[in-house]
Amino acid sequence: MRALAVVALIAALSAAPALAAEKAEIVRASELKDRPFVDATTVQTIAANAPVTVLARQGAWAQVEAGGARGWVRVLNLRLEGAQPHAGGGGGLSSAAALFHTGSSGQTVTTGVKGMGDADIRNATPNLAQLAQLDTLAANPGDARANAVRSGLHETTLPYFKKGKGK
Amino acid sequence: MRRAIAIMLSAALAASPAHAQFGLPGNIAGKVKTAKTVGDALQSFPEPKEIELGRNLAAILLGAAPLVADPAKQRYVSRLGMWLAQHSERPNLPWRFAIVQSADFNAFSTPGGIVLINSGLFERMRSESELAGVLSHEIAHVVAKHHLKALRKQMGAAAITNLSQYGPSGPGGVVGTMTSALINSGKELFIRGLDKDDEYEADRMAVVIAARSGYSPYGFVGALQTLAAIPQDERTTLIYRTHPRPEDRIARLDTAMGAQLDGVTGLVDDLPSFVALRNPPPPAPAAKPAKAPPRKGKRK
Repeated sequence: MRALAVVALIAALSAAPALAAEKAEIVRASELKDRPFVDATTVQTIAANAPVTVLARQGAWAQVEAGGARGWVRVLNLRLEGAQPHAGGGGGLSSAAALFHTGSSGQTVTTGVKGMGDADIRNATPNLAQLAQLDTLAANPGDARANAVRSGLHETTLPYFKKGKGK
Repeated sequence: MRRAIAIMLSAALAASPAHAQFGLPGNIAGKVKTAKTVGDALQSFPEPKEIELGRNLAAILLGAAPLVADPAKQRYVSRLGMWLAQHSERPNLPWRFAIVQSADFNAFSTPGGIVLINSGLFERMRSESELAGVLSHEIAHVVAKHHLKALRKQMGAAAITNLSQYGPSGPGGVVGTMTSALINSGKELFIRGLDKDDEYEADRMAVVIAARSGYSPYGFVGALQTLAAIPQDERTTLIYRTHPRPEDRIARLDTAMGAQLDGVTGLVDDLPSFVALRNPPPPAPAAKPAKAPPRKGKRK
């Protein structure tokens, strides 16, 4: 029965449509690779601020379409439509484009549920019944581990980064 | 004995300026068992009190945004969060993870291990690794005790010491002793946010906790990219006030992380468990079917 469910899930995953294509820009001049690896063949170089369409994400890499070519760039070299450039970066989508942004990454999925603003927090009364409800949702560490093992997750030991050093 | 240490620490804190985290005498620092930052007296805040404080603060958030009534999603988030927390330095806290009804792209944590994510954030996640990154960011705040640090700055050293001397919990582990002053401080904490450098620190820790747990660290980058692309209006006011700009967070993370984790093998972007819960299902891709991109969840 469980095996069946897993098979059904995998089938659903395979059949699931990939995430919607997203419009983005290249943050800095980047090599477009034919595969998502640093030593893969470079298809072409994409100039900073060039528009691309993001088709998929895989680890450090995003599959994009740029000027008719398709390949992979580093995720960190992308800026999605509507985002402002980092202060240290150049260019960016025009403010008019940002102003009239209607892209899919915005507020399209939360209709009917209101947000939580300052006033909501200021006016809130502590809700102890909800806190008790939260306790009933607590996961067991053993269950979490068993589930992770079933899912094939790989644990690894890694130190935290030093501040500001990495390249 | 504990009380004596608390008093000593309180005296030391009172004498030091708000930002001086490194100026405590060595004999006090020596008593701080788990201090990552030498001399951070908050490390000595008794853990049971920290948990109690966090539960009270979480009750405020739950008063503003109730839990989403979707047992499957709650079970999923709770289990994922617990798995991630097992890869932090404080695996044995009574961790709680849940989704609350709020349309904004935001998430909250409170001392002692309660993490609440908005439904509006959950629904914008592309993959399980993105959600893992966000949960890990909140776990990092708890592990590093960033809330206690912010409360101390806000309320003063004496007040935070008083918090640690609160009486025992009431029935059911719920504290009846929370003063209105504390409630107000908690509200201010959520409205004004944590120290901006602590946000950057939580970002750096988040990608590592996610990777330790088997998830691509780039999931968190994707979540920050989504946030950066959300038009700024009244719905993003709170997260923009309480956090550095997402563009700056991505740039700092890029600098700190670089390609350091790219050699870690076996990390996943997504899993069927998340795809099954993603709601609403993502729209069909614009790409031609013949050249469909590889599906998510492939190992690197």
